[in-house]
Amino acid sequence: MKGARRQAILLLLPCLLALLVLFLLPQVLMFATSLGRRSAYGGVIRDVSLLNYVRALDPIYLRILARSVGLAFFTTLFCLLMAYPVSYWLGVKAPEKWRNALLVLVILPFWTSFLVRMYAWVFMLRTEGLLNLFLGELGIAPLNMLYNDFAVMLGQVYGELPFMILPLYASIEKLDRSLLEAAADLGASPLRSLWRVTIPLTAPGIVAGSVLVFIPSLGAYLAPDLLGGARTVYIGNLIQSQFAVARDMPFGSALSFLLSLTVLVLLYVFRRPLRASQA
Amino acid sequence: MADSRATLRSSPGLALFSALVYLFLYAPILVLVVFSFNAGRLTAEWQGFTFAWYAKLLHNPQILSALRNSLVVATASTVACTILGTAAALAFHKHRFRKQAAMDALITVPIVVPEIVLASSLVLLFAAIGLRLGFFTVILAHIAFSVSYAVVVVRSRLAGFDRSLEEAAADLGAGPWATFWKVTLPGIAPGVLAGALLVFALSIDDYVITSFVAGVGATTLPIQIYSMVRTGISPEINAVSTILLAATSLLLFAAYRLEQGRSARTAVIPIVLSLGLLGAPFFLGGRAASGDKVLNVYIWSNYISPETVKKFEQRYGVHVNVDLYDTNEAMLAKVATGNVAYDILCPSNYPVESLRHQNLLLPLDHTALPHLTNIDPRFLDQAYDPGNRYSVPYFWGTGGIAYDKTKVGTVDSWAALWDARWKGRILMLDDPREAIGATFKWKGLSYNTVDEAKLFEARRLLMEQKKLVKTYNASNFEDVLLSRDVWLAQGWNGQFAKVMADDHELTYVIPKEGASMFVDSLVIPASAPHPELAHAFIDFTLEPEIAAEICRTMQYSTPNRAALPLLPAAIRDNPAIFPPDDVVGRLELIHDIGESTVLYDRLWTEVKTSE
Amino acid sequence: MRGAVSVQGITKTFGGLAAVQDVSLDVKPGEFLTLLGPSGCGKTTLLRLIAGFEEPDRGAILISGRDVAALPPNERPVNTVFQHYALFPHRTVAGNIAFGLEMKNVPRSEIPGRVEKGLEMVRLPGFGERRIDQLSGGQKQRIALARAVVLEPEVLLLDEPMAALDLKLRKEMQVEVKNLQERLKITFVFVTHDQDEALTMSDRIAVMNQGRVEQLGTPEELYERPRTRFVADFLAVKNIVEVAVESVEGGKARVRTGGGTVLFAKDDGGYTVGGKAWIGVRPEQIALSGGAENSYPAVIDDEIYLGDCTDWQVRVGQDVLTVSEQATSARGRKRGDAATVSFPAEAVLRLDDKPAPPA
Repeated sequence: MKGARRQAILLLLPCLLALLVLFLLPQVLMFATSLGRRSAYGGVIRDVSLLNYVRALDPIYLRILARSVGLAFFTTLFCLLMAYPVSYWLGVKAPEKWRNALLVLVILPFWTSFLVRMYAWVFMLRTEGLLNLFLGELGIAPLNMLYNDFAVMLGQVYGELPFMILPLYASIEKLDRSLLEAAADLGASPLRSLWRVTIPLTAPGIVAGSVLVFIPSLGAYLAPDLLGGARTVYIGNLIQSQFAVARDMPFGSALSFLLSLTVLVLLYVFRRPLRASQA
Repeated sequence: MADSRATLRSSPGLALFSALVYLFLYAPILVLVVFSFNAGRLTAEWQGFTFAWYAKLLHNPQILSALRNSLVVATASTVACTILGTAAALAFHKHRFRKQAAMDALITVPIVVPEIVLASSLVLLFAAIGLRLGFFTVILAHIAFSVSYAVVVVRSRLAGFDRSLEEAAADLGAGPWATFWKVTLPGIAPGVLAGALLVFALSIDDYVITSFVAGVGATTLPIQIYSMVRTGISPEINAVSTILLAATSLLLFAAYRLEQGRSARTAVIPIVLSLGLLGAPFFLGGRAASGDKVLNVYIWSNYISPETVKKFEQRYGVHVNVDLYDTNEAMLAKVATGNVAYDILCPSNYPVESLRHQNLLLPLDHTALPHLTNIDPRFLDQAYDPGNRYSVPYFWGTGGIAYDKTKVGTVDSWAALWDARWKGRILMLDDPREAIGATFKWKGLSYNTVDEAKLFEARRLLMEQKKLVKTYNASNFEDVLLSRDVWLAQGWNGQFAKVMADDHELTYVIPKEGASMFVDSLVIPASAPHPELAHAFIDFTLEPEIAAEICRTMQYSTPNRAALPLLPAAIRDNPAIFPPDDVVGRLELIHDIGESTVLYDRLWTEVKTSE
Repeated sequence: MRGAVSVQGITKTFGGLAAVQDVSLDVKPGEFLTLLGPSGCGKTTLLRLIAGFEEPDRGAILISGRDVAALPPNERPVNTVFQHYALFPHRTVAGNIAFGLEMKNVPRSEIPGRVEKGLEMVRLPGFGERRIDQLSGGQKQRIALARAVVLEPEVLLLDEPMAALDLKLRKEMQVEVKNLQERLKITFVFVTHDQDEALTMSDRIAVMNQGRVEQLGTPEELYERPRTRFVADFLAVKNIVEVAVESVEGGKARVRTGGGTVLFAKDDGGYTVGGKAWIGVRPEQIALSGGAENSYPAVIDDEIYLGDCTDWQVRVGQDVLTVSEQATSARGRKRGDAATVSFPAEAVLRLDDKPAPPA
């Protein structure tokens, strides 16, 4: 095993270099930009000032942040409620020879453009859309399903659900089934053994899935735009509009940087369960 | 284990719930596959089975070339990420580093950072190191956002990999290389494959980052798709998506069979079929013969047809790369870096000002533009470019109101958008300049008002209006109107004109108080590599026959006087496309308002966040 | 020298904890040497050091007289049978056995013949095309063995190869492995925590504890004369107590246990009058009848029936002894019965508390 360390470093180096140059360095440039000012014509004037960060603390932006946290929280909650039974079924009950195929089916929708899938939802949900046509056949008056919070939530849950199912499945699949039998043997009802045994033991999967759903949901902007009808602004939309509408790159960079920082803090706080779930 | 599993009873409730969740995941996919065979274009009703959209696809060189680009980019970034990611995962597997936590963070964070952040930071990077935006930068960007996924996926597979197998190989005489190829790689192959498939999927689906870093000739499928879905879900897009889905399903199916330990022969047919589907765009509608000379055009989507481009190519014996953008800002962000080799851009009026002030435009040589005289003088010598030193008008348009006259009667004022009778039936442009500007116009003020008190008043009016507004939209607003999700929509005329041709209940009006006007012009960036050819191209578009063809196929208003007599009456006499002169007199150009842009954005944000 | 292994002053630490501490050991060519000890004693680490999977912090390892420090595992003339076999799941049985031959660039035409010979050697002819997951535990073990021996290594290392087998299979495999070793005349270094296995199979045994070799000797030597408390305990000398030495005379030491029992032990020169000492008596050397010396009245506390013999827990004063009795003579006793126990002074083994530092 001589030089195992050197060998490992050589293996790691290209990837590390790629991330340093293509991720970290741009982030540093971005931070530098966030200290500058917007020029009258949308360019960047170099400067060293924290003005953009002070601006970000304005109550209106803090409200947007709070709303984004709320969206991310409920997205996570609904994903968890939907994904847990499915993952449990996949990991424990589903026929073993179909298990891998069923798992692949969870990810397969990703091979279709997210935009196209979002528009397909619009197509289904709109006033004269597929679902309302169907309801009409049943004699039910058309429902307002698009351009509201329900639609945003639906789009978010739709987009993030697989990220919850996969880690949950991984931890449920590892579960020692004899523990469930032990619980049943010791007189626990199925519900109690779920609550007292299964859920605590799959906690790393729950945490990993929740972080994987929560964090990207913080930056969500497509579902609010396309399904929510852009009636509310989330932090992702705000950043997007700084770059794409207001052409205020310094402020957009400051907001992005704050978002990245939030993400880092969250990753740090949940580092233990995350690592446990990877093992 | 097998015994204990049998004792767990089956639970139909759980299985049913799971089936419903799968249905949820597949509902949109099902819709797009089914409707790729629907004869009708824009409705939810089934109008008969057809292969027409697939046939049309074969004759659409833009989609085919976009698909080709996407496949090349995805393949390159997949290969790179899989190699880099697998190597890094192996490194972590072999050795525990001292700065492990920092390295873990460096690898995890790119996964969770919003795309827009990565996109804009990469633009900064490529500008800082002077790397020309193009195919290569797209590949680099795709590596940047997906290499982490490869590491994570391969690593999770390695975690379950029995290390003693590697020791056994070494023990039996295998050196590090032989051990890797003969034992480690076969052992982690499913993980490597899963990582590769994920990277491929991410790459082929990416829109945001690609749209920021793509340069000459690097229009990918999502960019093409985005420009097409602006006019509703196009069945052609459904057809492309279906083909891609079929190809990947076949590949996955083959991988699945191989993993099940079936003989390789059972996987051959799906692999061949899949590669056939993916390879088709490389054989169909082959790349236009690339001469020595090229012209790189960066233009709005739906602004020039492939036929027109072909005519220019044939006349001048050159190859034209056409890349598309959907917002002025996406184009500005790229051009502002001076880091991209376009010869022709098509900014709206106020971005022309911005580009001009940043010295990013080449002064035009009017002697090389003999057909400039064809342009209606009303569109020349505007404040954004006095004397047209830098720009030549290409299309012009207006921002007014389209509505369903059978439902709301006649509308002639912006006040209709504040009419409580149409609560929940109103669409506003998701654009601070247009929305705030329309409010000003309604109250007799200018679109370019920067007075703070007046801006606050406009904000109040828009906040009041919000409970009546169904949605804010600046991309496919005409589709929302067409589907009757709303009855009144603020928007730009060109897009409305397209759907009004199919739906005669819709009509378009310039309110009596006036409306906004835009002029999209052709300009040559200061950094253009082929300025002479660029001049030739601009003059080409000014020829009456060509201008008429462009107008006919794209249905936006041409500023070319000489082209008008060559247009079919249906277009020339369409008031939505060519408003009468008295109406034109009520139009106002939107100018760059400099510092006040920030205030506009902030007020718009306040409107959008209000309850 | 071919097949000799010489371990010279090897130390290996993991994160500050010494797994192997200054171990020196010589294995003779063709010898069956067992490293015996509880888990965590360093026996597997020592084996991995010889195989080359770990690098020693200090010391040298010579195989067939050659220093192998610079050689990676793939270049060492040793092969290993892994604890969980480490058979390649993506290759067939034949593919596994052929692996090492391929690596050695054995001509392609020779490989099938040698694979089949290997399969015959472990009595699994015709198994070549099976997949690994179709094999039973015992079959996997044999394949792992075949995979290693077809390469004709100078030394074969076996890392608890029987740990996963059930008792009956383990007994069979012990015989088989021993026979194989005698036939092939390859040096075997065998790691186990099972003392019976070690005693049955080995030419010599090195008992390891906390990274050191506590005692090295033939099975007979170890069985009859364990030197330390640890070795004695590991080799099932159950009655081990600390005693006070009262006198030494006539080749016998008079000692007193903590419970107050006085007994005589054969003096080996290690007893110091007025000092403390550790002693041990094997349960099977204690008789449940009166004897010439060390004979005490006792009460039977408990009975542990073991089939071919019975272990009695008997109380002598305040001391408790374990006495092992053959099944044939054990009938008719029950708990609470009075009895007499006795053992000769020769049966009392004097034990060192700690191993003597290496010379």
